[in-house]
Amino acid sequence: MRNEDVVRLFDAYSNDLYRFALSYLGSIQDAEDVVQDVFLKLLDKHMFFEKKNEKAYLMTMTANRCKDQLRSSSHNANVDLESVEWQLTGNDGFTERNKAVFDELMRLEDTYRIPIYLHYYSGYSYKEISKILKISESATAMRISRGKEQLRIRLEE
Amino acid sequence: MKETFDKITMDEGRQNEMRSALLTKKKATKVWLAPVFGVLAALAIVMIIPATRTVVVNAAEKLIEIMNFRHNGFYITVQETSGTDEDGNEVKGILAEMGQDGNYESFAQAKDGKLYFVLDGKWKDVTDKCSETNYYRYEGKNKDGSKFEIYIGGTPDDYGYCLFTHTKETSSMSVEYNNSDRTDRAWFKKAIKDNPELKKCMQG
Repeated sequence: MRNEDVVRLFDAYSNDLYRFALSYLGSIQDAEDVVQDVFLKLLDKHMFFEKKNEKAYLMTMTANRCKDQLRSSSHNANVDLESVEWQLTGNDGFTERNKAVFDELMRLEDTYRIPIYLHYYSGYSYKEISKILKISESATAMRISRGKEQLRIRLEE
Repeated sequence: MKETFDKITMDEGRQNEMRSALLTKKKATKVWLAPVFGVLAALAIVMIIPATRTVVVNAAEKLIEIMNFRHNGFYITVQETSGTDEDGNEVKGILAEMGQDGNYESFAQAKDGKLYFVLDGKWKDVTDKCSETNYYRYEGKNKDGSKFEIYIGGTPDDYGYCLFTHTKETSSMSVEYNNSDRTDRAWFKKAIKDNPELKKCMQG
């Protein structure tokens, strides 16, 4: 893939991938590393894909890279959520309410948090999520349902 | 949720740095030293490069491959490059990639009450060679000439492996246990005691 093509994808999707990686890993540094790795891989591996599928493909690459990152020594397994939230409050207009929502989502188990993020934030269907995360559609539906229930209980508390 | 995540964006400086690296096709190579050990499926990779989480920008195009381990869908590749850091200083960089592809299977697996060493689809029964305090050791060579050792230890109920890859320049270690993140396995302690290189790798 040519540099300018990769840069076009970077400009269009880097923030989407970053949010996804952050919700996956809970670490700003790790999320940035993952985004960088995904786009470098596009250059390295001479990958091509259809325009209509490009975002889903990049999300899948990001999910795979996040899984690798979780296993890698460079992943900080003990990320302090408060410190991440503190850094996020530096973003324009990131309010206390935003912080509370982020906090509740990040405290969900990975199994539930990631499908919930993909469905309710990114707007992916169960079928699309099952492809991105390489799990069955029924597993996707179950995880979203259970995660939503856990979130509801917490927010009521 | 939408409102919250819409407000999260990558740091502009970091974004520009990445964009610029992509435009010039010069890789921003990560250099790290972060030994993490004993966590389930965690990798501890130890490099000879200074222990900084520094980004090497303007890295040379030529990369020298110094390790290429690919077995069981598990890969560790290490390449060396040189370049300059953000301040223009000459630095050596290591580009290390590790992970698993869709074909990954553990080097240690239990089946029907037996413990097996698994390598590239071949299963070897090592139940009798392993115990809570003892291990089975396999030594192999990668296509690039670098060597690796795999230690299997434990019982069919509580087992694990330690993968140790090394060249003259660098070494890496990864450890995976089947059901716990405890690090005090006696078989593993014995392996470390028997092979000082393992200890050296752990200590960086």
